[in-house]
This record gives sequence, structure tokens and C-alpha cells, in this order.
Amino acid sequence: MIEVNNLHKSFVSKKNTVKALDGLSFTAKDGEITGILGPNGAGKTTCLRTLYGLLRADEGYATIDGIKVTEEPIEARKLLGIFPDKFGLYERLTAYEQIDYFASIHGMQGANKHAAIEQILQDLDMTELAHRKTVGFSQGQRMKVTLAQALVHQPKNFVLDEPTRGLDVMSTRILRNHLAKFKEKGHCILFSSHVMQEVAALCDRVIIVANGKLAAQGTPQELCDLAGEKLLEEAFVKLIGSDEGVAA
Amino acid sequence: MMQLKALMVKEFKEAFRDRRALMVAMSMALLMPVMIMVMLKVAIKEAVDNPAVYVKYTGEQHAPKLIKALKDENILSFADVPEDEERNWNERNIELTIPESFAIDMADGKPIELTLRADFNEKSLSSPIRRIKEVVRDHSLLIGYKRLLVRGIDTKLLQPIKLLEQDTSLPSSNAVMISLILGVYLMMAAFMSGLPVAIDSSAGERERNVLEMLLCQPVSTLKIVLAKLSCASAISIISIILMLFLTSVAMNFVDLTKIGATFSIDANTFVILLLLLVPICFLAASLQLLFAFQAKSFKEAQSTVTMLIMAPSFIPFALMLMDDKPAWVEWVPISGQSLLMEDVFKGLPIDWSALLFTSVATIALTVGLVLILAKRLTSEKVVMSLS
Amino acid sequence: MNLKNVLSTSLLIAVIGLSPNSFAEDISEQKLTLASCHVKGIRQQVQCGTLAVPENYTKPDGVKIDINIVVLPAIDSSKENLPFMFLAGGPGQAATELAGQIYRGFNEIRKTRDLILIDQRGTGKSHPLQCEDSLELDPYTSIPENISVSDVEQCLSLFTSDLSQYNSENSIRDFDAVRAALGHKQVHIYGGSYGTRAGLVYMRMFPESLKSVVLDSVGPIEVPIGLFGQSADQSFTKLLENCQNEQSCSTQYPDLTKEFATIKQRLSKAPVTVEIDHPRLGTHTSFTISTIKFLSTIQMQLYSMETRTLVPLLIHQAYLGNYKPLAGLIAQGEGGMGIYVGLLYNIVCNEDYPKISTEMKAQDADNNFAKGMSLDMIGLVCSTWPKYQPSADFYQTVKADIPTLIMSGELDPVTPASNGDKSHAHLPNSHHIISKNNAHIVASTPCGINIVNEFLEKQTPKELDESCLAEIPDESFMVGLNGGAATLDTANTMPTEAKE
Repeated sequence: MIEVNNLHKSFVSKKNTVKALDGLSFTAKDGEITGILGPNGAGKTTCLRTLYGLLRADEGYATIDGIKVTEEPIEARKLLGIFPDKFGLYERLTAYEQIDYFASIHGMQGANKHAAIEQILQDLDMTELAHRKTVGFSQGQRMKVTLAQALVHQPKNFVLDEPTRGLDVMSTRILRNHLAKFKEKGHCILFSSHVMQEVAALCDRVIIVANGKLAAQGTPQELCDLAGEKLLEEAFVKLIGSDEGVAA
Repeated sequence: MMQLKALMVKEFKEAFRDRRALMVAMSMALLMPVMIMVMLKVAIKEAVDNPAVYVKYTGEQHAPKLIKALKDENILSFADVPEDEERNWNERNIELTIPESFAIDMADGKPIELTLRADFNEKSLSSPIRRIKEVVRDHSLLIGYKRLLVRGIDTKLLQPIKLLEQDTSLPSSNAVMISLILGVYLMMAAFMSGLPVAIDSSAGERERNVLEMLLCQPVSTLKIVLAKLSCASAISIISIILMLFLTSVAMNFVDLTKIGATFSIDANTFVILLLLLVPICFLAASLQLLFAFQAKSFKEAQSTVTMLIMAPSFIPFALMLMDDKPAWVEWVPISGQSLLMEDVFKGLPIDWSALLFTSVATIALTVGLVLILAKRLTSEKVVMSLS
Repeated sequence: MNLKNVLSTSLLIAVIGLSPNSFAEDISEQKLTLASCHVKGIRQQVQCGTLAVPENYTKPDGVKIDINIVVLPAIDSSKENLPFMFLAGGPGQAATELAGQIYRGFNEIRKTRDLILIDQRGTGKSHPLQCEDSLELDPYTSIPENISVSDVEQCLSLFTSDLSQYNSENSIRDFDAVRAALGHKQVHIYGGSYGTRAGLVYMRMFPESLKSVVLDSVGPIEVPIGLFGQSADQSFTKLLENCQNEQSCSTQYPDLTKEFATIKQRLSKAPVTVEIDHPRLGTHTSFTISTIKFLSTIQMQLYSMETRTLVPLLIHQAYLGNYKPLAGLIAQGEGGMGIYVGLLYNIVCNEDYPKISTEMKAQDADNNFAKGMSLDMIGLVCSTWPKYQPSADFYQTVKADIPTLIMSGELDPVTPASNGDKSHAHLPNSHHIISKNNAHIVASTPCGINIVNEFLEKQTPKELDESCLAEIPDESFMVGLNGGAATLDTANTMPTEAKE
């Protein structure tokens, strides 16, 4: 379970101060897929980075399974699987080596580690890729490797930052199937996106963020109802455009 | 511990698979002996007192003693020129003509005129021409002295005034130059060999978007820094070992004694040099990582960190210019090692306490830099520059 | 040198003194500081210093004398190679006064090694024993035959120190003290002429201080100094032979042997006096030539290949009644030979002359050149010279197992190759090189220096490249008052030269 509580974050530079998060709070529950929806610059990435412990909130806190990220970042991260915003690969390593690397960082070793890697390779249908160097991989193959390295240690919580960006249909499907499987196993999944269909199709709950604040939350259907629109996209536009109304 | 091992294994794997970075690192090691050898060959050629000179004689049979005197100074007949130098000396075309009447005029005490014909403006000929002139003059003088002597005249009369020169300049030699260059080069190698690896594993990883992922993992930044540091410094240590080894091999091919230099890298020197340079490798790697992480892009990292390399090469020169060295230069990193290396090359016994002091100082500085870097990697500034 | 340098240098030696190697040696070991200085004949700066040593080593707290030291630093300024200590000849030559010659002659060795020059006690600036008056004699009008005991006594009256302490063994004690004070555990030594005698004594007294030894033109302890009759005769005979073997010389001087005998005959009756222009002053002077003056002048020319070239001309002209070449040569030697005569006789009269038996004397004098000339001169001086008894060990045969290179010149008038053979027979790790066309001191040629240099590097006396010795050409001579050789002979020598 991931909890975000009243997060405030400003970036101060010489020219101006940008308020990225302005009292954002939400909860992503176990066994659910939670989507964060927001326009560019709404504070999604800042929010997630705070969650990873890369950024320090000015006010408020985030917890992962009850562990405060700011206080015990390493412990909190152990419970996380991360699929970052811009993922890169170690191009001089093979897919297997790369996955192995992250598994080891998470403290896995020996036969356990080996089995876990084999499992994830199989799950993602990438055994054939395993021993090739990742240089020259297609976007879909890259996504698979990133997914595998994020999930190899079977994290309780899984955070994805715009995971489907640049993926073809087949890859998107694989990702989606995998997330669904995870959900069934009772994991907590949080992912940010600005693709409406994606969110509508996958998420149990949607959190709409605008200007660093929670604009609205609920199931896709609830949000449509709230905005009085049929399509989530329309609802989204309406909700972020008239935040006053939502708050009321 | 396991985490650190995994981090290190990955760094080494990546580094060793990065052919380009490895090539750069090792090229230093390979180039050094070649450069030293070429430099020494040139230096030896210039410093050898009497390189062979080949002269086209006419009438050499008329003055065998003069020809022998010339030969004693390694001025030889063009007839004996080795094949590979024949073209050269044919072009230089130094001619010495000895008249047929040489022996008769000598016996009669008449002046004998020899003709030396060459391009006196040609730079490469200035030394051979000077030497020929000296030999002819000395030979002539010797005959003159003997002529007076057998006439019962004190030959010292010919030298009424003798100027005794006393040169107060400090003797400098090629050997000092060689060891200075070698010292600078070793220092540069320590600084430069790990550079591509250090930049690639810091600024490079950031540019390839893999750093963020790593920073999100449950691992302390100290371990990340240590892994990267040990990898970059290991590469430079390997490079230095290779360089020392190849240099010691290369030294066998040049005869240093000709220019009054004794220099060899025996096992003992090898170990001492390594002891001196290993802390420098660590220090260099930590500095490189610090600056590379600081840079906004890979390109910027390359340029700023390259500036860093200038530091070690200036320090030995600066030390040379310092007449009164303050005590602290003996244990300050880099300058301390420079001074000790100078001693090693001079063959002086090593000052172990100075070595210990400067090594400890260097390592302490490295530790400080590593801690700063680890701290810095947790800072928001680094994270913000990730995207 | 400023104070700081002095302090740091003394500190350096103190540090060396603490190293375990030298700890047990000599606690009272002295510190020696060298300062930059200039010496005659060398433009560049060298290092100078003095070491105070007891005049009498059995009384370490007694009178001290200062030993003068000059170090010619290695060109490469590295301390990697052990230094090379030069033991001068004579006895009575001051090593530091030869600095200029050594600087140039040993250039090849100086590239990588310090050269240590020490004035032997009694020479140079180490409490010199010089007979000043002997220099004042007019070399043209006076003749050696007139030197009398009173001249010797006059010289002796100048000396106030304990002459018995100015012996070879004490000199070696000084040298080894300098070695230790300079902080060297071992050194290589080079001895030339009497320097080989000193070297051999060094080998016996302090073998552990010597890394290797070069003995050039050997004067072994078994052969007393002064027995020059046979060797000078041999050297002179070879000169005459070589002249006859060379076409221009034999053409010019076909009867040299006869002419030489004639002059000796002439002079033996009475000294000849001629009027000449003073070689230096140009004024009129009379020039008296006696047997000893004539023979000793020739004998002096036999030492070096360069001066040997003049001997046939000298004899021939003298035969014709022209003594000007002789006057020219005497002028050359005017101003002394740089020998500290006091020390020379102090050593020879006590360490060598007493060992010469009447039979030895007779055998040595049985020759056609100068008979017993050298010994007669020495004998005259020694008759009044104060005596001391060298230690019993002094006459022991030296058998030290140190790498030793022995060199001799076949034309040498004073230390013949047979001397080298004697030392070679006793030294287990030695090799004897005999250079055919060489007189006294083989290291005076570039070839000799190269062999010494190779020996210092390899330390294998038996495996050196001696091929350059064969390339030294046969001696040739000045055949006319203007020099120059007849054209005839050149046709013969040229092809062989071109081959090399």
C-alpha cells in the first residue's frame, strides 16, 4: 500500500519559484491498480520521485506499507518495484545480466535469484532475449527488460511512470496482462499516464492531479459521473479545467 | 557486502566491454614506452659526443696521419659509409681536398692548403663542419708545437694567456629531463587512464537514463560511488602496471649510458612506483567522478574533467621552479609523490616515512571526496538534473 | 653553500649512519660535508670537502691532518651506481690536481658514476711534503749528477711532521675513512702506476670496502719501485725496433742504435756544454748535457705514445750535435711533474729501496739503455732519508677475491707487463689485459677507458670486449724537424686503415 499525505514541494531557482506539489494526498491500495492522471507539469513525476525517496518533500510525507520514505529510504525502496519515467538500459550488459544486477541489489542470491530470474523471463516471454546484449533492442524489448528488472524481486508495490509511452500494441498488451496478473496476486500498483484509454481500461481507481493538487479521484466511471461526461477524456478535461467545482 | 559486489561486478563488466574507453586507457600505457623510446633515441643521437661523419676525401693518401686523427674523432671516409646512410651523406656532400704536395710541403715547412667544401648554412652540417675544423686545427697545432719544440723553444710561449673558466650554473642533464618527463607521464597516466570509464559510469549513465533507476534502488549512494571508484581506479592501475612493464622492456632497447643516464625499472622500483601511484589513481578517480557528476552533460563532463588532467602535469614543473620548497609539498598529494618519484629515478634511497605520509594524505583526501560525492548523489540537485 | 644545505646534508649522512649496515662499523665515524666548488681544469662545478684524520692512527686523539677530497659528480646525477675512486700514481701525485684530466679522460665512466679524488696524505692539499728548492735549479745549466746529500738534507729540514706516518698503509686508512664518511658501503677503485700499489694495499686491508678493482700498469709489492733498468731498456729497444719496422723512420734514421751508443760514449767522457737561446726567455744561455740528463730525458719520453714519437729525432739530432730538441723537451718538463717529491722519497726509501738486494741491483743494471741510473739516484737520496719500518703485513702477497681488471702496456718503461702477470697469478678473480701499442697507463686511450667502463658494468674481468686494442695502430715517429712522413709509406698503411 502506498500512501501520499499532504505533499508540498517547491523548486527554487534564481529566477522564480515553481510549486510542483501543493498538498497532494492519495492512497493506492493493495490488489488495485491506481492510475495517476494529469497534464504535463501537473507534478506526477515529482510525486513519484518523492515516493522513491529521490526528492524530499517540503511538507507532508509518503509511506510504503507504512514505512516513511523520508526516514528509511532504503527499507522503503526494498518494497518497491520501479518502472521509471525514462528508462535506459546498460547496453553493454545482456538482458540476463541486467536483471541479475537488480536482483542482487535487492539482496537476492544463489539458486533463489536464479529461479526468480528464470521465472520473470518466462513470464515476460523473453527467454530468447536473455543472453543478448541490450544494445539495439526494440522499444518493446527494452520495456520488457525494464519490467523484468523492476519485478524480479517480486515487490509488494509497483510504481510505473508512463510505462506505455512509445510502445506498440503488442508490448502494451503484454504489460497490461502482466499488471493484471500482479493485481490478482494482491500487489499494489501505481502508475502514471496521460493516455485515457489506458487508464480507463486498466485502473481500478484514478487520481487526477493538476497544479500539484488532487483534482479528483475515484473509479473511471465515478469520474465520468462526477463530470457528467461519458468519456473519461472529456471528464478529465472538465475536471482539471474547473477544479473549483470538483472541490465543492 | 553482496550489494557492493554486485555493483562492482557490473561496473567492471561494463568497463571491460567498453572497447573505446579501454583503448583510451591502454593507449596511454602503450604510447608511453614508444614515446619515451623515440625521445631517448633522439636525445641520444644528439647527445652522443661524436656521431659518425662521412667526408668525401680527395687525396687522402697524402696525409695518413691527419686522416687518422679525423678517424679518431669518428670522422670517416665516405667510402666507408653504411648503405642506409649513404644517400644522406651523399646529399650533405662534405668534401675535403688534400693537395698532392702535402708531404713535401710538410717536410719543407711550407703552409699547406686544404679545402673544406660544404653547405655551411645547412644546419645539420654545422656540427660536423665544426668538428672537422677542430680536428684539422688541433692536428695543425700539434705539428706546430712539435716543430718549435725540436727547435728548442718552450711551447708554453705560444699560450701567453690562459683563461680558466668557472661555470656557476647547476649541472643539468638529460637524465633529469627524462625522469621528469617519465614522472609527469606516469602521473598523467594515473589521472587519465581511468577518465573515460569514470565519465562513462557517471555522466554517461545519467545521459543514458540508467542512473535514476539505480538511485531508486535500496542501496546507499556510498556503495554506488565506491563501486564506480574502484572500477575507474582499477583501470588506471592496470594501465600503469602495463605502462611500467612495457617501459622497462623498452628501456632495454636504448643505451642510456651514452647520454649519461642510468635508468631501469627493476622489481624494486616497480613496486615503489606502484605504491606511490595507486593512491593517486584513487584520488584521480574520485576527482573525476565528482566533477563528472557535477557536469550537466557528458560533453561538459569530458571537457571539465580534461581540465583536471592538467593539474598533475603542472605540479612537477612547478616543483622544479621552486627553489625553497616548503615542508608541506613533501606530503601534499601529487607533489609529494612527484618528489618521491624524482628520488626513485635518481636512485636515491626511498624515504619511507614521506611515502607513508603522502599516501595517507592522498587516501584521506580520497575518502573525503568519496563521502562528499555520496552525499551529493542524494541531493536534489543531482536528481533534478536527471531529466 | 648556505647553512640550510649544510644542515640537510649532515642530516642525510646521519640518516645513513642509522641504517643497520653501517651501525656496527665505526661509531666514531665522521661526517663529511661537500660543498660546490671549482677546481683547475674543469669549467663546471664539482664537490669539494676535507676530512680530518689522525696523523697517527694508533693515536686517534693526537694530531689531526686534513685530507682533501674532490668529487666529480655523475652526469646523470643518479646515485644508482657505486662511485669510482681514483688512486693517483707517483708516489707523490695529488689526485685532485689531475681532476681536469680525469674529468675528460674518464668522461664515459663519469656519465653514471661519481668519481672520488683524494689527495694522498703528503700530496696536494693533504699536508703536502714538497721540496720547494728542487724546483729552483736551472734545468739547462745544472746537471743531475751534481745533486748532493746536502740538497736532500735541506729539503728534509723543511718537514716538521712525523714522516713515519706518511706511508702507504695510512694513506689507505685515509681513503677508506673518506669512503665511509661519504656514506658508501663499497666503491670501485682505479689505481694507475703507484696507484696500483695503493690499490693492492687497499685490497689487503679493507677487501669488504671494494666492489671491484682496476689495476692499470701494475707496481706489485713483490717488485720494488726503482727497478726500472730492465723495463726501460726493453721499452727503448722496442722503440728502436718499431722505428726500424716503419719505412719512413728506418729510411730517415737507419743507424739509430749506433748513434745512441755513440752519444752515450761521448757523454760518458765528459758532459757537453753548448750555447743556445733559452727556450723560454730567448736570451743566451749555456746548456750542459750529461749522461743522466740525456738518458733521464729520453726515459721520460718513453712513458707516453705521443712523446715517444720524438725520440728517434732527438737521438739523431743529438748525434749530429744539435741539442735543441733536448732543450725543448726539458723546457716542457720545467715547473715540475706535479710530484710531491717529499712523499715520493718517504715511501720509496722506506717501503721499496730497503728490499732491493745487491744481486737485484746488479741484475737490473745489466742493460744497454741507462744501466742502474734510476736506482743510483734513489740510493743517493735514500741514504739520508729518515727511516721507518713498514708493518710486517705490508709485504704480504695480496690474494683478495675481488673482481680485478689488470692492464699493462707492452711498451711501458717502468711497470712492464711481467708486473701485471705477478699480480694476476695471485688474484683469483682477475684478468690481465696487455695492450700491444701502449706505453704507461692503458686507460689513457679511449679503448682502455671503454674496457674499464665495461668492466665496471659487468664485473666479469674475463669476459670483456678487448677487440679495440687490436685497432690501436703501431707507433710512428716524427721523421724531420718539420714533421711529415714520406709519401712512400702511406701507400702501405692506407688499405689496412680503410678496412676497419
